Amino acid sequence: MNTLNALIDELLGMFVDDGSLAIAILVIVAVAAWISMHFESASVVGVVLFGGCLVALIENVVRTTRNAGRS
Amino acid sequence: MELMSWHAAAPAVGAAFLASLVEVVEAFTIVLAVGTVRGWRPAFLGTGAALVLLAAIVILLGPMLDRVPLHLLQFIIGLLLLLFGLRWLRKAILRAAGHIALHDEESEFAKETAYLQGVARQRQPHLDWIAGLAAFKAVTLEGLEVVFIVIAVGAGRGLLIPASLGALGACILVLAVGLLVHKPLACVPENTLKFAVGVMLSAFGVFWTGEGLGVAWGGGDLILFGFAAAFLAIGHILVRLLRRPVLQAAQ
Repeated sequence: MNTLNALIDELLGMFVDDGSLAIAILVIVAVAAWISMHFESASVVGVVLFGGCLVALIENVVRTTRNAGRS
Repeated sequence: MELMSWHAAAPAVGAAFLASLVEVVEAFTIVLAVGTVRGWRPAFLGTGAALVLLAAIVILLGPMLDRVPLHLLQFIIGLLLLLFGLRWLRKAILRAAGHIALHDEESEFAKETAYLQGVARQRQPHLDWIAGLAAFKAVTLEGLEVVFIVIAVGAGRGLLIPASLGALGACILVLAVGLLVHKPLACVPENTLKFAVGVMLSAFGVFWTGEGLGVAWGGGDLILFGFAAAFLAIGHILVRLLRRPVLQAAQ
Protein backbone atom coordinates (compact mmCIF):
# COMPACT_ATOMS: atom_id res chain seq x y z
CA MET A 1 0.00 0.00 0.00
CA ASN A 2 2.87 2.33 0.88
CA THR A 3 4.48 1.57 -2.47
CA LEU A 4 1.21 2.32 -4.28
CA ASN A 5 0.81 5.60 -2.39
CA ALA A 6 4.43 6.50 -3.19
CA LEU A 7 3.77 5.73 -6.87
CA ILE A 8 0.68 7.97 -6.93
CA ASP A 9 2.51 10.76 -5.08
CA GLU A 10 5.45 10.46 -7.46
CA LEU A 11 3.18 10.52 -10.51
CA LEU A 12 1.50 13.69 -9.29
CA GLY A 13 4.86 15.12 -8.24
CA MET A 14 6.13 14.68 -11.80
CA PHE A 15 3.93 17.57 -12.86
CA VAL A 16 3.19 19.56 -9.73
CA ASP A 17 5.92 20.67 -7.36
CA ASP A 18 5.15 24.27 -6.59
CA GLY A 19 1.34 24.56 -6.80
CA SER A 20 1.35 28.23 -7.79
CA LEU A 21 3.52 27.57 -10.87
CA ALA A 22 1.22 24.74 -11.97
CA ILE A 23 -1.85 26.98 -11.52
CA ALA A 24 -0.17 29.81 -13.44
CA ILE A 25 0.61 27.43 -16.36
CA LEU A 26 -2.97 26.13 -16.40
CA VAL A 27 -4.33 29.70 -16.43
CA ILE A 28 -1.99 30.71 -19.29
CA VAL A 29 -3.00 27.67 -21.36
CA ALA A 30 -6.70 28.30 -20.60
CA VAL A 31 -6.37 31.94 -21.75
CA ALA A 32 -4.52 30.84 -24.91
CA ALA A 33 -7.22 28.22 -25.59
CA TRP A 34 -9.97 30.81 -25.06
CA ILE A 35 -8.28 33.23 -27.50
CA SER A 36 -7.86 30.47 -30.08
CA MET A 37 -11.58 29.64 -29.84
CA HIS A 38 -12.86 33.23 -30.05
CA PHE A 39 -10.38 34.98 -32.33
CA GLU A 40 -8.75 34.07 -35.62
CA SER A 41 -5.30 35.33 -34.66
CA ALA A 42 -3.16 32.25 -34.08
CA SER A 43 -0.03 34.37 -33.62
CA VAL A 44 -1.59 36.04 -30.55
CA VAL A 45 -2.16 32.57 -29.07
CA GLY A 46 1.53 31.78 -29.60
CA VAL A 47 2.66 35.03 -28.00
CA VAL A 48 0.35 34.56 -24.99
CA LEU A 49 1.53 30.98 -24.53
CA PHE A 50 5.26 31.59 -24.87
CA GLY A 51 5.36 35.00 -23.16
CA GLY A 52 3.04 33.81 -20.39
CA CYS A 53 5.24 30.82 -19.58
CA LEU A 54 8.38 32.98 -19.44
CA VAL A 55 6.67 35.50 -17.16
CA ALA A 56 5.25 32.75 -14.91
CA LEU A 57 8.70 31.17 -14.55
CA ILE A 58 10.40 34.49 -13.75
CA GLU A 59 7.70 35.51 -11.25
CA ASN A 60 7.78 32.14 -9.50
CA VAL A 61 11.57 31.94 -9.18
CA VAL A 62 11.90 35.55 -7.98
CA ARG A 63 9.07 35.10 -5.45
CA THR A 64 10.54 31.83 -4.16
CA THR A 65 13.99 33.35 -3.61
CA ARG A 66 12.49 36.43 -1.91
CA ASN A 67 10.41 34.27 0.43
CA ALA A 68 13.46 32.13 1.20
CA GLY A 69 15.46 35.29 1.94
CA ARG A 70 12.84 36.52 4.41
CA SER A 71 12.60 33.25 6.35
CA MET B 1 9.64 4.80 -42.86
CA GLU B 2 9.46 8.38 -43.93
CA LEU B 3 12.80 10.21 -43.87
CA MET B 4 12.79 12.69 -41.02
CA SER B 5 14.79 15.88 -40.92
CA TRP B 6 17.55 16.25 -38.34
CA HIS B 7 16.06 19.45 -36.93
CA ALA B 8 12.84 17.59 -36.15
CA ALA B 9 14.49 14.49 -34.66
CA ALA B 10 17.56 15.97 -32.93
CA PRO B 11 15.71 17.90 -30.18
CA ALA B 12 13.50 14.86 -29.43
CA VAL B 13 16.45 12.44 -29.32
CA GLY B 14 18.58 14.90 -27.31
CA ALA B 15 15.83 15.63 -24.78
CA ALA B 16 15.03 11.91 -24.34
CA PHE B 17 18.73 11.05 -23.97
CA LEU B 18 19.56 13.78 -21.42
CA ALA B 19 16.38 13.34 -19.37
CA SER B 20 16.84 9.56 -19.30
CA LEU B 21 20.46 10.02 -18.25
CA VAL B 22 19.32 11.90 -15.13
CA GLU B 23 16.59 9.39 -14.28
CA VAL B 24 18.71 6.28 -14.91
CA VAL B 25 21.56 7.64 -12.76
CA GLU B 26 19.08 8.12 -9.89
CA ALA B 27 17.65 4.60 -10.28
CA PHE B 28 21.14 3.13 -10.65
CA THR B 29 22.18 4.61 -7.27
CA ILE B 30 19.37 2.78 -5.44
CA VAL B 31 19.87 -0.51 -7.31
CA LEU B 32 23.60 -0.32 -6.55
CA ALA B 33 22.85 0.25 -2.84
CA VAL B 34 20.53 -2.78 -2.82
CA GLY B 35 23.09 -4.92 -4.65
CA THR B 36 25.95 -3.84 -2.40
CA VAL B 37 24.10 -4.38 0.89
CA ARG B 38 21.91 -7.37 0.09
CA GLY B 39 23.42 -9.00 -2.98
CA TRP B 40 22.53 -8.81 -6.64
CA ARG B 41 19.64 -11.30 -6.65
CA PRO B 42 17.02 -8.98 -5.04
CA ALA B 43 18.48 -6.02 -6.94
CA PHE B 44 18.06 -7.77 -10.30
CA LEU B 45 14.66 -9.24 -9.38
CA GLY B 46 13.33 -5.83 -8.31
CA THR B 47 14.77 -4.16 -11.41
CA GLY B 48 13.43 -6.90 -13.70
CA ALA B 49 9.93 -6.73 -12.22
CA ALA B 50 9.92 -2.93 -12.66
CA LEU B 51 11.05 -3.23 -16.29
CA VAL B 52 8.27 -5.76 -16.96
CA LEU B 53 5.71 -3.37 -15.41
CA LEU B 54 7.05 -0.45 -17.49
CA ALA B 55 6.95 -2.57 -20.66
CA ALA B 56 3.34 -3.55 -19.87
CA ILE B 57 2.40 0.11 -19.42
CA VAL B 58 4.00 1.00 -22.78
CA ILE B 59 2.34 -1.96 -24.55
CA LEU B 60 -1.07 -1.09 -23.07
CA LEU B 61 -0.89 2.69 -23.55
CA GLY B 62 1.05 2.78 -26.84
CA PRO B 63 -1.78 1.67 -29.16
CA MET B 64 -4.22 4.00 -27.37
CA LEU B 65 -2.17 7.01 -28.49
CA ASP B 66 -3.05 6.27 -32.14
CA ARG B 67 -6.76 6.59 -31.33
CA VAL B 68 -6.48 10.11 -29.89
CA PRO B 69 -6.97 12.89 -32.48
CA LEU B 70 -3.59 14.50 -33.28
CA HIS B 71 -4.45 18.05 -32.15
CA LEU B 72 -5.88 16.78 -28.85
CA LEU B 73 -2.82 14.57 -28.32
CA GLN B 74 -0.48 17.51 -29.03
CA PHE B 75 -2.43 19.75 -26.66
CA ILE B 76 -2.48 17.25 -23.76
CA ILE B 77 1.18 16.30 -24.20
CA GLY B 78 2.15 19.97 -24.57
CA LEU B 79 0.34 20.91 -21.37
CA LEU B 80 1.94 18.02 -19.44
CA LEU B 81 5.35 18.97 -20.87
CA LEU B 82 4.89 22.58 -19.75
CA LEU B 83 4.05 21.42 -16.21
CA PHE B 84 6.93 18.92 -16.20
CA GLY B 85 9.56 21.01 -18.00
CA LEU B 86 8.97 24.32 -16.21
CA ARG B 87 9.02 22.42 -12.87
CA TRP B 88 12.46 20.98 -13.71
CA LEU B 89 13.73 24.33 -14.99
CA ARG B 90 12.50 26.19 -11.88
CA LYS B 91 14.21 23.68 -9.60
CA ALA B 92 17.44 23.73 -11.62
CA ILE B 93 17.54 27.56 -11.51
CA LEU B 94 16.94 27.58 -7.73
CA ARG B 95 19.65 24.91 -7.25
CA ALA B 96 22.16 26.69 -9.50
CA ALA B 97 21.49 29.95 -7.61
CA GLY B 98 22.09 28.21 -4.28
CA HIS B 99 18.55 28.41 -2.90
CA ILE B 100 17.97 24.63 -2.91
CA ALA B 101 20.58 22.01 -2.07
CA LEU B 102 22.03 20.10 -5.03
CA HIS B 103 20.98 16.47 -5.46
CA ASP B 104 23.87 14.30 -4.28
CA GLU B 105 24.10 10.71 -5.53
CA GLU B 106 26.64 9.75 -2.86
CA SER B 107 24.38 10.93 -0.04
CA GLU B 108 21.40 9.13 -1.66
CA PHE B 109 23.52 5.97 -1.83
CA ALA B 110 24.57 6.38 1.82
CA LYS B 111 20.94 6.97 2.89
CA GLU B 112 19.63 3.88 1.08
CA THR B 113 22.56 1.76 2.30
CA ALA B 114 21.99 2.88 5.92
CA TYR B 115 18.28 2.06 5.63
CA LEU B 116 18.94 -1.45 4.31
CA GLN B 117 21.67 -2.08 6.90
CA GLY B 118 19.27 -0.92 9.63
CA VAL B 119 16.67 -3.41 8.39
CA ALA B 120 19.37 -6.13 8.29
CA ARG B 121 20.35 -5.43 11.92
CA GLN B 122 16.74 -5.99 12.96
CA ARG B 123 17.13 -9.47 11.40
CA GLN B 124 13.86 -9.13 9.55
CA PRO B 125 13.04 -12.40 7.78
CA HIS B 126 11.79 -10.61 4.66
CA LEU B 127 14.95 -8.62 4.02
CA ASP B 128 15.40 -9.84 0.43
CA TRP B 129 11.81 -8.87 -0.26
CA ILE B 130 12.34 -5.37 1.22
CA ALA B 131 15.58 -4.90 -0.73
CA GLY B 132 13.96 -6.09 -3.97
CA LEU B 133 11.03 -3.75 -3.36
CA ALA B 134 13.43 -0.80 -2.94
CA ALA B 135 14.99 -1.57 -6.34
CA PHE B 136 11.53 -2.12 -7.87
CA LYS B 137 10.24 1.21 -6.56
CA ALA B 138 13.27 3.19 -7.72
CA VAL B 139 13.28 1.71 -11.24
CA THR B 140 9.49 2.03 -11.60
CA LEU B 141 9.36 5.65 -10.44
CA GLU B 142 12.33 6.85 -12.49
CA GLY B 143 11.27 4.63 -15.41
CA LEU B 144 7.80 6.18 -15.48
CA GLU B 145 9.42 9.57 -15.98
CA VAL B 146 11.52 8.17 -18.83
CA VAL B 147 8.40 6.63 -20.45
CA PHE B 148 6.54 9.93 -20.13
CA ILE B 149 9.40 11.94 -21.62
CA VAL B 150 9.86 9.56 -24.55
CA ILE B 151 6.12 9.62 -25.32
CA ALA B 152 5.92 13.38 -24.79
CA VAL B 153 8.78 14.38 -27.08
CA GLY B 154 8.14 11.63 -29.62
CA ALA B 155 4.41 11.02 -29.99
CA GLY B 156 3.37 14.41 -31.38
CA ARG B 157 5.26 13.94 -34.65
CA GLY B 158 5.92 10.23 -35.08
CA LEU B 159 9.33 10.37 -33.38
CA LEU B 160 8.69 7.65 -30.81
CA ILE B 161 11.40 5.34 -32.16
CA PRO B 162 14.20 7.98 -32.31
CA ALA B 163 13.20 9.23 -28.83
CA SER B 164 13.20 5.65 -27.50
CA LEU B 165 16.66 5.13 -29.00
CA GLY B 166 17.84 8.28 -27.20
CA ALA B 167 16.52 6.90 -23.89
CA LEU B 168 18.02 3.47 -24.58
CA GLY B 169 21.39 5.09 -25.33
CA ALA B 170 21.28 6.80 -21.92
CA CYS B 171 20.47 3.47 -20.18
CA ILE B 172 23.34 1.70 -21.93
CA LEU B 173 25.77 4.54 -21.15
CA VAL B 174 24.87 4.64 -17.43
CA LEU B 175 24.99 0.84 -17.08
CA ALA B 176 28.34 0.63 -18.90
CA VAL B 177 29.93 3.38 -16.80
CA GLY B 178 28.27 1.99 -13.66
CA LEU B 179 29.65 -1.48 -14.28
CA LEU B 180 33.12 -0.02 -14.77
CA VAL B 181 33.28 2.27 -11.73
CA HIS B 182 30.94 0.24 -9.49
CA LYS B 183 29.95 3.20 -7.32
CA PRO B 184 27.33 5.99 -7.43
CA LEU B 185 27.81 8.23 -10.46
CA ALA B 186 28.26 11.34 -8.35
CA CYS B 187 30.40 13.13 -10.94
CA VAL B 188 27.48 13.41 -13.39
CA PRO B 189 26.63 17.14 -13.53
CA GLU B 190 23.03 16.41 -12.62
CA ASN B 191 21.81 19.97 -12.16
CA THR B 192 23.34 21.09 -15.46
CA LEU B 193 21.58 18.18 -17.16
CA LYS B 194 18.30 19.02 -15.41
CA PHE B 195 18.72 22.65 -16.50
CA ALA B 196 19.23 21.57 -20.12
CA VAL B 197 16.34 19.10 -20.01
CA GLY B 198 14.04 21.65 -18.34
CA VAL B 199 14.86 24.11 -21.14
CA MET B 200 14.20 21.53 -23.89
CA LEU B 201 11.00 20.14 -22.39
CA SER B 202 9.61 23.63 -21.75
CA ALA B 203 10.37 24.51 -25.39
CA PHE B 204 8.59 21.32 -26.54
CA GLY B 205 5.70 22.15 -24.19
CA VAL B 206 5.12 25.59 -25.73
CA PHE B 207 5.48 24.13 -29.24
CA TRP B 208 3.05 21.20 -28.82
CA THR B 209 0.47 23.18 -26.82
CA GLY B 210 0.52 25.82 -29.54
CA GLU B 211 0.20 23.22 -32.31
CA GLY B 212 -2.68 21.63 -30.40
CA LEU B 213 -4.42 25.02 -30.33
CA GLY B 214 -3.89 25.46 -34.07
CA VAL B 215 -0.88 27.81 -34.03
CA ALA B 216 1.20 27.51 -37.23
CA TRP B 217 4.60 28.44 -35.81
CA GLY B 218 6.73 30.57 -38.13
CA GLY B 219 9.86 28.59 -39.06
CA GLY B 220 8.18 25.25 -38.33
CA ASP B 221 10.19 22.90 -36.12
CA LEU B 222 13.14 25.31 -36.09
CA ILE B 223 11.25 27.59 -33.72
CA LEU B 224 11.94 24.97 -31.02
CA PHE B 225 15.55 26.18 -30.98
CA GLY B 226 14.32 29.76 -30.54
CA PHE B 227 12.10 28.78 -27.60
CA ALA B 228 14.94 26.79 -26.05
CA ALA B 229 17.37 29.71 -26.47
CA ALA B 230 14.90 32.06 -24.76
CA PHE B 231 14.30 29.69 -21.80
CA LEU B 232 18.05 29.12 -21.50
CA ALA B 233 18.81 32.86 -21.55
CA ILE B 234 16.12 33.65 -18.96
CA GLY B 235 17.34 30.78 -16.77
CA HIS B 236 20.94 32.01 -16.85
CA ILE B 237 19.92 35.61 -16.17
CA LEU B 238 17.84 34.49 -13.18
CA VAL B 239 20.71 32.41 -11.79
CA ARG B 240 23.12 35.36 -12.10
CA LEU B 241 20.71 37.86 -10.57
CA LEU B 242 19.50 35.64 -7.72
CA ARG B 243 22.71 33.77 -6.86
CA ARG B 244 23.22 33.53 -3.10
CA PRO B 245 26.69 34.40 -1.78
CA VAL B 246 28.64 31.17 -1.07
CA LEU B 247 28.94 31.91 2.66
CA GLN B 248 25.22 32.56 3.06
CA ALA B 249 24.37 29.40 1.07
CA ALA B 250 26.67 27.32 3.28
CA GLN B 251 24.95 28.60 6.43
